[in-house]
Amino acid sequence: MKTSALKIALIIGLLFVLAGSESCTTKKRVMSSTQKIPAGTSVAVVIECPNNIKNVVITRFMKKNFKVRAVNYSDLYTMKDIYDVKDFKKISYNASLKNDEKSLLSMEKTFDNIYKLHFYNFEINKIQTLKEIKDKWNVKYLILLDLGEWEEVSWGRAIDLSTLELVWVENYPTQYNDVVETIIDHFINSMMSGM
Amino acid sequence: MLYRLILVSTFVLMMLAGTSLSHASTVVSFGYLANKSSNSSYDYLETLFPNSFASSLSAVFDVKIKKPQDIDKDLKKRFNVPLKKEYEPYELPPLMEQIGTDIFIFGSFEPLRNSQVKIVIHIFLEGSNEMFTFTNVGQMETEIFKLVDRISLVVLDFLQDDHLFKSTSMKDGSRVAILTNIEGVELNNLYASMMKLGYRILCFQSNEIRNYMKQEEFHKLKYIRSKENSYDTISDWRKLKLFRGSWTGIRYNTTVSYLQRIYKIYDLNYLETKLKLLDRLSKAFKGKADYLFIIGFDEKKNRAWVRCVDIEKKELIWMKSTIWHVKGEPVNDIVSQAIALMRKERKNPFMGLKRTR
Repeated sequence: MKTSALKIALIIGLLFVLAGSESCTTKKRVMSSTQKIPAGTSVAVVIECPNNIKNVVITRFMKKNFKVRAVNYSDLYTMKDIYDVKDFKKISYNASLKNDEKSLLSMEKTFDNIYKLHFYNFEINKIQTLKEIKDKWNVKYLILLDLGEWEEVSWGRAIDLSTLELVWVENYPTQYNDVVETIIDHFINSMMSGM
Repeated sequence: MLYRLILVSTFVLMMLAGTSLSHASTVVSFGYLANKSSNSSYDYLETLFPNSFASSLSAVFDVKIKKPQDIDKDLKKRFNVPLKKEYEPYELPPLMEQIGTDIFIFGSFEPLRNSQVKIVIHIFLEGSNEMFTFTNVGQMETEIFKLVDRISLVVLDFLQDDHLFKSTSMKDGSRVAILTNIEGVELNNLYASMMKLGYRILCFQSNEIRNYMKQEEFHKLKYIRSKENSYDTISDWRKLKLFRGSWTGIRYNTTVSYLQRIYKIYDLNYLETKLKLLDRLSKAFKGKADYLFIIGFDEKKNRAWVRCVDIEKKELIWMKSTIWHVKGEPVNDIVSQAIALMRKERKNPFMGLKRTR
């Protein structure tokens, strides 16, 4: 009796361990790079955080001689502070014509198609804007960063605006002794070395 | 991992048990393949083609087959209507009921130059409101049986293997625009997996910190229309009541005419609108975008559906409606499985089988 109960407990325990180990797989370091980003290049760094943290981030890039363009750094406010900017896309997606026109349920597919085209067009428009950013501000790379707390994952991405290709991605599990500077330095070294 | 494997295996067994094609009571009916040429000497192919597909399918699966001539006889006897050569999509649900079938396969053919023939097949599944259409071109005389096998294989894959369809693979080293409903760390996993598999990832959706696509909204993208191959829902324009006349005011008439225009552009002529969009997408990348790869994950990342469009040819080239997560990091596992499946050569299961034409 005791043995079978112990076996069941062991199996349940094993399942929990296995389930836990699977969630850990998303917290492993992942890195892929197709080209090294050399020091001295002009970059636009996009990150969602308070302005004092943003200053720390751009300082680390400037210390490595990157030319940091004033994209996402030219305002006293951040995107999080401006509700209209932050949620504009969300609002436009959520607004449903169906609710206004209950009698037109047979047009559901039409609305779905409009939604799909809207989504494609939105992505195409962003590409046009990025091309303008590249030409007008002479930006070579667009760098996106997101900082995670300890035991979470910080991530980064770099896009070459001349080829419009993703050239570097990394997921970096934030360590216990990490601070903003060390995480950013890690990302900068990773994108510069391609390792 | 183990519990997930057990879960997946159980589900697969359940799916196999319930798969429409695995059960003898499943009815697969074939309509005519309408002759689109003005040459009536080809009319005999209108029944020869569907009969050949039916024989191929019944040779590898235990399903009940209904051939066009039998359906025609039955419809005339019970409803006093013949089996038509062509059907509008909205005519299919009541027809399915009249025939008493689970799957209805019909289409058309058109002889081309150099003894080639273009065959268009539509597969409609009972109760789903979804229709899968694909096109195949082959030699008329010398390779007619190869062509029949090739088309039967596409039908078989679609019905047997979670709506699997593959006309060609994404070439190694090609430039891919990816659309998905994941973000951040998981999205990076997706990009890293694709980059390691040798694809160049275009700046499409990757240029934002967050992804605001809602789960249920994103899944609308699984219905896709392209030049020759499509997987889409059907709609019924007859149910749309947009009446106007002398009794209605100017304001009402204006609204109705706008709705008519919207309906025309985004439903009736949606394919034209979509092809223009693909042109715009190609121009945005200066003609250097090869494929549009759309992958939709469920909320728990247990499974995903995949669609792939050749941007230059404006053609759906590959799709699968369910890929299950088996082991390891879910996104990486599903993407690796998807690409491996896409690259895998499919053997011809009809080779050497005895069939009646």
